[in-house]
Amino acid sequence: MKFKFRLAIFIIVLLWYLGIWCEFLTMLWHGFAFTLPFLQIIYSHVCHQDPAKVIYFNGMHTFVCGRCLGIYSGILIVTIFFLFSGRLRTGARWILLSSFVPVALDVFFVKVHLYHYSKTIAFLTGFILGSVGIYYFYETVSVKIKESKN
Amino acid sequence: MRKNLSAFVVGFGAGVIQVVPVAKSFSCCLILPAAAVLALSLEQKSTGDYSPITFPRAAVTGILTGLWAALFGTFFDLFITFITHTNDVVGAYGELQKMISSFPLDETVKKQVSALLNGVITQIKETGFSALYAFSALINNLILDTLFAFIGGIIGMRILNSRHSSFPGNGND
Repeated sequence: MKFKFRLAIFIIVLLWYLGIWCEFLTMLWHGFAFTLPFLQIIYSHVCHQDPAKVIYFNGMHTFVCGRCLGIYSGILIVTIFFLFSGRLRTGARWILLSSFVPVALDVFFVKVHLYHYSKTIAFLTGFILGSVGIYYFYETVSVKIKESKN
Repeated sequence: MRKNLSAFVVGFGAGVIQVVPVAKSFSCCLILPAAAVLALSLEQKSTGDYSPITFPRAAVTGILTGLWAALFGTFFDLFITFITHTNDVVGAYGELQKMISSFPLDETVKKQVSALLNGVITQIKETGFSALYAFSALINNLILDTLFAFIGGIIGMRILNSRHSSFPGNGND
């Protein structure tokens, strides 16, 4: 995939990720405050935004829960890696499938009250799923683009 | 038509799940990618064609699933909002108001930001419908659901095709 396409993907992912932290960005530039109501609506469609599960710092919170933040953080990290490397090795299917397991187990254990909901665990399980999932997405798209050129 | 029926059915299901509070809180942003994978799998079963899924097929099924989910999801969201005169945004309003008032911003900015959201909230509470909310929900769902389902479709192709070969979900295009 050409660098400009990878850069475009990176910018989209970065903007989406920064939107999650918009409350914090308001401290840098007050004009961001006007986007808050709209971002609240936008992110409410991709996350339940349960106040008990979103991340708080200094009275400000993210627009998504710990798990979703983990997923998007994983996506951003892999996107940065993909931006600079551009080449991804083929991974096995079991890695992709097993990336769902930590999330499923965490949800199950919380639901059966084996332990209380932990933002850290939710973030980490989400991070694994997001990073592995998007890795396979980029890899498949890259292979297809390469094939279409040949 | 039969090929796209699975996208319609699963899109409908995803649209419903998107507005059911308990189900929604389970997996939130994973609903659409999972729906696209399910749509691909159902498509294979309904057509009896288990040959490797092609990239365009996966992309189209994913996008269609996302589109149907967006349309149904928006419809159900607006319908429930119309009936109940409340929704997630109304629920989160108090929290957002509190947060905005605690910001070290100019009073004018605070008032303007509050007024933006207040208009939507008041309309929803009084009439059960806000044109701005409806428009933003539709556009938002159309873009996000389609994108998420597209990603799900490609990942689904990878999962389903890996039964055929060691190569990453290669379809014979």
